[in-house]
Amino acid sequence: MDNIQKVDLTKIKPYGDTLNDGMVQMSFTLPVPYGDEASEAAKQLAEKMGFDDPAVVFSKDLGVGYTYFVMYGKCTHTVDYTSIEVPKVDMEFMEREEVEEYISKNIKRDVVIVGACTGTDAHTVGIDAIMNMKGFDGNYGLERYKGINAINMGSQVPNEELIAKAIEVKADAILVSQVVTQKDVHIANLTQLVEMMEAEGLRDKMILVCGGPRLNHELAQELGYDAGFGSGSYANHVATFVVKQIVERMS
Amino acid sequence: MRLIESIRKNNYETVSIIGLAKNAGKTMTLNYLMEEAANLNIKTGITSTGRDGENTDLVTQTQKPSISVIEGMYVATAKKTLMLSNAKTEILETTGISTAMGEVIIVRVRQKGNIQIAGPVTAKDMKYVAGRLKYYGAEVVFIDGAIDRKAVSSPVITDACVIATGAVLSRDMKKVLEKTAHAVECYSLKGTDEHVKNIVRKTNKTCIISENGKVIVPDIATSITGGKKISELIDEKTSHVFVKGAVTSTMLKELWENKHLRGIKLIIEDGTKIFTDINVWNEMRRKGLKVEALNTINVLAVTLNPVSPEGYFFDSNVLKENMKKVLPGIKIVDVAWGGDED
Repeated sequence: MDNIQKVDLTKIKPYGDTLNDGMVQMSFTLPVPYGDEASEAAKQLAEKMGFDDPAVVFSKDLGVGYTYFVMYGKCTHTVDYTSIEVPKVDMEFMEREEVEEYISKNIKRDVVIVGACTGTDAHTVGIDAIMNMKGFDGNYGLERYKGINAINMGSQVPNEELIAKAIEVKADAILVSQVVTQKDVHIANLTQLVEMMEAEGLRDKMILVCGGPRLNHELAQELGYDAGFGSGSYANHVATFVVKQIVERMS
Repeated sequence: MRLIESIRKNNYETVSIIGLAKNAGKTMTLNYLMEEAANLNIKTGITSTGRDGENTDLVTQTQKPSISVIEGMYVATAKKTLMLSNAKTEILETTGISTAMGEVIIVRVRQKGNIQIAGPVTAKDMKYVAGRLKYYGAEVVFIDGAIDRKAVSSPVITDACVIATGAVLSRDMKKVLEKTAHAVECYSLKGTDEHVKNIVRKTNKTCIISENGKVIVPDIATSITGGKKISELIDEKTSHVFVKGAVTSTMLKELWENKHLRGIKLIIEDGTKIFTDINVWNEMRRKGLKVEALNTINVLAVTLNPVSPEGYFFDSNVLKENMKKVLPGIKIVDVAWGGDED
């Protein structure tokens, strides 16, 4: 058993059948008609991507001159896993009951949180997972929290309406969810919200949090948000951050 | 006169660099200005809203130029980015302002090298940091507005701005020209009359001003949704309407429903408050909407980057000539091709 190869974390690469074989499965579509030339084009493209021994294992005619491919290839690059550092919201997260107790002890009033999925984005899955009563994956959403008045505006909400609502209900925090990221539309949306909050003189009066599968804390802060939550975040994470910030700002 | 000379001549102490998109050439513009300043022995301070100077872009994963600093410059940047830089620096102050990359620290460069900057992200913190850079001895502070953040170019924070634009805005040069012209138009709105400024500053709320000086403050929480109410209060005696905060398409359209608006002046805080759709804005301007600003922004120059990281580019001279046509009277510098100034 001693000769089992150890993983070298400073040089990791994909695992297929054996350690470090670099095997990758990928799929894409090319705007060319189905046939041998199409497969050759896909192979050459994969070579240019830096894959060794690229092979088309499946291709399908999509009609109208487009072809879909599934390919294998060996990745030649490695990554030093030990040098990776991802900034995260760095705090001990409280459970729902603890958050509720924290609010009644330290804030002594209802915390108002307005949330929405902004711009043209119609995917409510993210904001619903955090806000809706039933929550997600066994974690209840903010609507269920005692001491939190959670207002979920749903999807395709223009930034100006989100801000207007936040002013109307005197929100402590705004949560904005972005799921669609084609052509970096989420960046434009999120930036516009911050700019509008600055224009309205609200930026330092409200806590601004964004979330979504392509977002993280580092990007959120670069965009001018107080925090960013990526995949695998639950309502209690967001709630902990918001209530702690409120108390921090009270002092 | 070269750009840096006009900054000195007008005593502009804080200059922001605003990119109309990511990869429009802000860092190139910053490097260009710092080099020009160094040639004239002007002490500069630099900082950024969000991170800049890193090798690859966080959003588009494209290669980016690094920021090179020389001895004697002042920099405000976050702790972690400072550790990633190879310039040798001396710490002057820890500000207590936190960012994703750690606390913002003010340093003096002791030995030249490349540096990454990640400064404060809110306008309020930025104002403080710019003040500290000046306090330590920076004669001109350059603020790099990361991503396409524009709030830092607000005259409340900076004295003047340089707008970076380029091929990245669109594959269609016409669109690049249109978007740039719109931004410059918004930023260079003319200041309103002194007596109106005084009224507005005293009221400091969205208000409707009559010819005889009477001021009505509508009962609205924000102008964003208050368009209808403001519109109802405009009559034939109204001379000015001041809108505090963001100016949106919806609000403009609601105001426009009142036919008296054609004869009166719309006053806004400054050009960074305009969030309208270009088409809505242009249509209203064509129909005669008059807009003036409470605080004016000095647009010093427009810099061009004819190359897009998406792999296409424009002929530098054609872009420059066309830009001159749509922006008469504005200094245009192509920073990607060595920054020749006319």
